[in-house]
Amino acid sequence: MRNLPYMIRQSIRGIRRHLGTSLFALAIMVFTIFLFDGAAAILLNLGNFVKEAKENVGITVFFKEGISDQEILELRDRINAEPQVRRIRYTSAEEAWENYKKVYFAGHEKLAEGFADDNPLANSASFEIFLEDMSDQKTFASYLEGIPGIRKVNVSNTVADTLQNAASLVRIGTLVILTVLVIVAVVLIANGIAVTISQRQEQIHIMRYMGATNGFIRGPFLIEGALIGLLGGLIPLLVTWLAYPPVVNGIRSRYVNLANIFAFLPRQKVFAVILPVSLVLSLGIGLAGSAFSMKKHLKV
Amino acid sequence: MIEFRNVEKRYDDQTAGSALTDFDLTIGDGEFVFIIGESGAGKSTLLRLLMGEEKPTRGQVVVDGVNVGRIRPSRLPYYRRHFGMVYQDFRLLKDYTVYENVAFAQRVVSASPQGIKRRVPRILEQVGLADKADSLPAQLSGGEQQRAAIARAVVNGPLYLLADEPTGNLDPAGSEEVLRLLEEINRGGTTVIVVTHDVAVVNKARRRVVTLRDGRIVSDREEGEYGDA
Ligand SMILES: Nc1ncnc2c1ncn2[C@@H]1O[C@H](COP(=O)(O)OP(=O)(O)O)[C@@H](O)[C@H]1O
Ligand SMILES: [Mg+2]
Repeated sequence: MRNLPYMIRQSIRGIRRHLGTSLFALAIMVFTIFLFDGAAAILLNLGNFVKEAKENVGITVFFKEGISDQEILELRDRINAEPQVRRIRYTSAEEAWENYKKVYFAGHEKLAEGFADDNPLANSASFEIFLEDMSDQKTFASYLEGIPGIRKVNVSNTVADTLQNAASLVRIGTLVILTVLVIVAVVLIANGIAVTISQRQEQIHIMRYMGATNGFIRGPFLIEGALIGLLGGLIPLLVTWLAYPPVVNGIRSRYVNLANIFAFLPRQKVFAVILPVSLVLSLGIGLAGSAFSMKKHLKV
Repeated sequence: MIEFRNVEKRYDDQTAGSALTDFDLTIGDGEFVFIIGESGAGKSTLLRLLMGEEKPTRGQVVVDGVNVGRIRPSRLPYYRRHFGMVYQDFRLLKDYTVYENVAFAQRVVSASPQGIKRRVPRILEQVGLADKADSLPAQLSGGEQQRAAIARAVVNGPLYLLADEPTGNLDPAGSEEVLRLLEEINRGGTTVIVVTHDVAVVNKARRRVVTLRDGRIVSDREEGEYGDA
């Protein structure tokens, strides 16, 4: 530890001696970690959307023809008694028709009046059921299908499914690109350090004869990798920190509908995840670069 | 004390013969010894075995009771701290000042900053370079560079000082200066081993001379001269 200032000075000397390689490695690092930060921010928000979408969409249940109001009430009490059920909402055929009119005959209410005494959605009374745990939806749906008086059970959740598909696409794409970039970054850092090692070959030999320990000899090279790694992690983190609020606001104002449905995660919440992960990732890349280089070029 | 006990050294890729054969040599504490011999005689191999950089193919190199070939790699740095090393081409760090070069040796052994500040000026005084402390090696004469290298070699207080052709790149005046310094260090109790081709230096010093040829000792004389064998 007494030699830490010396080692840091040595590593900065090393970086400056092959500034071109160092800057190139740094640029790739910044790009890699920036991609990671951006993708992570998108994925965290998508995950949050999926969660919200699932919570806001329940199971819809339609009844057999000719079912009486009394039977419907009994069914409601029976389903509501199940422990998985958080909330159940009844929509009568009349309400369904009112909703339908609002959506499809908006501004042409007169046209709808032709149906006045003959509700075309007579069979559209339904329950909407929300569960405590969304993962129970499938099993609960098949349980509902077995209940007499129930004609049809809908669990289709297209919004959540679409979002989830989008999320896994982003995840896979990011993973592939990141893997390639991480390898490129490690190789570039290793190259820079190989240059430093070759320039210091004689000094290293002298140090060995002076009785320098391996730690003393390796320290500056490890720090060189760590410095480039950390810097390559901090720059994109700072950019992401500054860019997050304006980007989120931009999306909100452009897609007002989306903003009404989904809440974006606050910056602190996103950074609670990406800050530690990016730093560990970037430090890891830097140290891996040093380690590879030393294994190859620095015989013990 | 340094002992080579019936050492044979044959490098892995060595086609004919061995670098050292039937090699027996004892150097007592506080001695001043010249090792001479033509190129390829085995002088550098002897130093490498001593520093634990190479292991003997047969026999043992024993320093102060320790079998050098058996020292664990992790302990080797600490063993090497008993030695100071001086080279023909000085091998000072080019972008370090004289002071920093000497301080560097102290740093390698984790000396305290106060200790470094105390010892480095004292040793530079001793080798007559106090006024060149802030010079870069390139600004010094050959003789001065070698004195800086000697300061670096002894600043950690080694028991043994090994010099490989220390006067090979120096003019007669510089050589004499370096020899005087080595003798002064030897008077302080440090064992000094000098590998050399320098006839003038050997003949002037009147010290023990060990002559090698083809990896064997062909002569070993107190107060020897060059070409005794
Ligand atoms: N690393 C090596 N690999 C193979 N042979 C070597 C190696 N180093 C030295 N030798 C051989 O060992 C012999 C002694 O070499 P060396 O100890 O360097 O002699 P000197 O220093 O007296 O010139 C020579 O024949 C040389 O070619
Ligand atoms: Mg030699």
